[in-house]
Amino acid sequence: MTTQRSGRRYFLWLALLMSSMALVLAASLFYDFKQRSSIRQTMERRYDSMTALVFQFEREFLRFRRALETAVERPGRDKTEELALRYDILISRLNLLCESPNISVLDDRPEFKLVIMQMKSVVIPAEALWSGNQPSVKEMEALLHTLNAMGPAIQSLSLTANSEVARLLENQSKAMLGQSDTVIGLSSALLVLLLIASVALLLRQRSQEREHAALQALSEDLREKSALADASNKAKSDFLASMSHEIRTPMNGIIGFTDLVLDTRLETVQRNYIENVKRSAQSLLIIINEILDFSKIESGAMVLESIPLDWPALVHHALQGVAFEASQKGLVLSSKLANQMPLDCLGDPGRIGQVLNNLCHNAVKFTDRGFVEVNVQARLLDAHTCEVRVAVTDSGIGIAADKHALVFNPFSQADASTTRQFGGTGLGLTICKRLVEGMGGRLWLESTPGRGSTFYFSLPVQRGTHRQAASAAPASKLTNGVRPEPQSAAPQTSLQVLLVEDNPINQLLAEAILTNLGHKVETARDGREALEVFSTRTWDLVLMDIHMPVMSGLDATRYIRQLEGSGRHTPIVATTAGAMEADRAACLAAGMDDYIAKPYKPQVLQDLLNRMAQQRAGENALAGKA
Amino acid sequence: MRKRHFFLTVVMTVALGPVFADTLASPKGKVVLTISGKIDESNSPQGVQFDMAMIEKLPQRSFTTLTPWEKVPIQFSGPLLRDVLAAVKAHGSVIKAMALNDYQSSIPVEDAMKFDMVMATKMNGKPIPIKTKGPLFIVYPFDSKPELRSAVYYERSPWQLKSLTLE
Repeated sequence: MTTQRSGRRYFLWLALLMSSMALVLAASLFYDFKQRSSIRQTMERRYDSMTALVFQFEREFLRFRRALETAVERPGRDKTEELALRYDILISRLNLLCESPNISVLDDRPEFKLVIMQMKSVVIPAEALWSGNQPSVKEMEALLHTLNAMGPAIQSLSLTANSEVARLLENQSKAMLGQSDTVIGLSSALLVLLLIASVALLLRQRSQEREHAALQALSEDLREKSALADASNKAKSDFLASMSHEIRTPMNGIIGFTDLVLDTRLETVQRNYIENVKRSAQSLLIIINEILDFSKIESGAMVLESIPLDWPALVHHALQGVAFEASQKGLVLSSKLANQMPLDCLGDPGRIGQVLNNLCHNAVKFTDRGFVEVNVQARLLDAHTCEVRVAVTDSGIGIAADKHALVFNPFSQADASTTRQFGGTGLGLTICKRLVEGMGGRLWLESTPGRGSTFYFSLPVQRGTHRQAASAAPASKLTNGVRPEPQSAAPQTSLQVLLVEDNPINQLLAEAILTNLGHKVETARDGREALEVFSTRTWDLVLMDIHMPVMSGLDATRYIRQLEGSGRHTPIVATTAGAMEADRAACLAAGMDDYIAKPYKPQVLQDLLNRMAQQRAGENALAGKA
Repeated sequence: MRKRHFFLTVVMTVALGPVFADTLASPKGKVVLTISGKIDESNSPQGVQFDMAMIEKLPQRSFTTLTPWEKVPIQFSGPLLRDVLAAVKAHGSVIKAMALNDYQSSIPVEDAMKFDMVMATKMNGKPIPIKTKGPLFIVYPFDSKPELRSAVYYERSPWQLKSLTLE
């Protein structure tokens, strides 16, 4: 503000300075012009010709007087003719004196007036003496006398003309000198103004440079601070990720063993207790997964897939996830899908499912009676894209208008009392919003407190079948993702499985699940041990942990692949809790075939083993034919 | 009127031109101009002498111009200077002109060829008395060309002309 005002003042001053310079220059030009016109005047007037005219007049006067003297001394006709000629010439000089414009400055001088008056009163009438007959000597003597008397006046006229010219020239020189002085003064003023202007410009430049440097320093400072903030934010995200990783490993044990206990013969009370344990563990896992997801999104590690979407399955699965809780509360669940729903939508089913699950979960959580409805509409934008809008409506407690923005903030719910009443991390909606925005969409809500809420999200969805092949690739393992219900069929083949796992509890759990499913398991505690065991026989499957002491799973895999060369390819599947995209890429790069996230879920393991068993059966059949 | 005058001039030039040399008789009236120096004609020991009648017999021309010596434009009439020179069969490159008051000036012959200079015998149709600038006054047509309005040509315009000497 201050800078702006001072800048404006500066420009005002500069403009003023420029205007004065222009003014001074104009004045200087004016004086130059004046000087020029006075020089021109001198040229035209030719004052100097005045002296010549007066001189010529005096000369002819003297010649006339001389002719008169001669005529008086030796009178004769020829002398009279000469006298008449001299008279005429004198009169012509007199006329010039009276009429020439160059001599007008003399008109007012008494010396001039006297001579003219004498010429007119005495000399001109004398013409009568010789115009008719011979003049008498006496008359001529009288005239000569008069002319002699006129001598001093004629002489003085010459001197007057001379001094007048000198005076005029001096005046002119003075005037020109004065004008010259003025021009010099004006030029000096102009110089001073220019100097002031350049100093002002210099100062301005200096101050601007200083301001610029200050701004640069400030932006440097801000950049450093922002880098620092980014670093600390990343450290926080890393900490969250590693903490959730650390928590997931023991969770692996709790859920896995709980499943194993539930498979044993239990009394009803015991079964209830154990089921409560399992539900609690699952809730805890969801919270941990949310934190992990949030930190993943925060660190910018979110990678999106583009594979065909099965909208009915997504909606069905989301509702199924809340079916138990809804039936406990007596809520009516329903879904509505637009008839014209395009079948060839591409997108990330994991992410969309996650958002849908979360919204349904919230709806059921905050609704005590009534209904929860999912509504999916599609609108074609052009041949290649459509916009899908999903609405999850409930008849729950609703959210006050001033709290709408708040619910999307991380770690906050509509108010603190909500947290006490309903629990949760408060991360769910934040994650949903970030996920939707990450997919190029929008998430918003409409709600009336006491009447219910509708959460909307709209997504721009690409259409096309050209990416169909992508669905064959292993889908990203989402911690909270939705996978199609696997076909659980009993294994037809018993597989030889090498389990590489450093955590004894996880080891025990996986062994138990695999054995239960009818497979044969051997274990190794680290990469080096795995290599030793691997070389003892051929294996149908290696389950390889990544983070282990002595030798990591990735190194062990690389050695195994080296060992195999172009021979038999043993399927190696990574098992890790570090469910980051980067890990997955590293696993595939090391030569692994697939990737499953811990904690081990019996269902997931069984699905994997079934696939392997089918693959082996196929290979056997081929070998048989050969 | 002027047209007829011009016609007469042409007729006289054509008809009288060839016999002009014979007409250079001695002046009968008062001598107003003597031409001497490099000329092939002669009618007196001093060279060729003219009285006013002889001058007025030459083809006449007139123009009106402003001069530095008068406040208003004046009509000057008389023979072209180059016709005067032709009449005396002049050669040479410079004309020394002498005035009654001993004023002397040099006029390049080239000027007489290049410009329609007039040896005026009349100003505004009246003979010029010695009391003003007469009887003869050599004038450049100052208003016909801007270059002529300069001191150089003003000085080459003698009045009260008495004689010309070809050099």
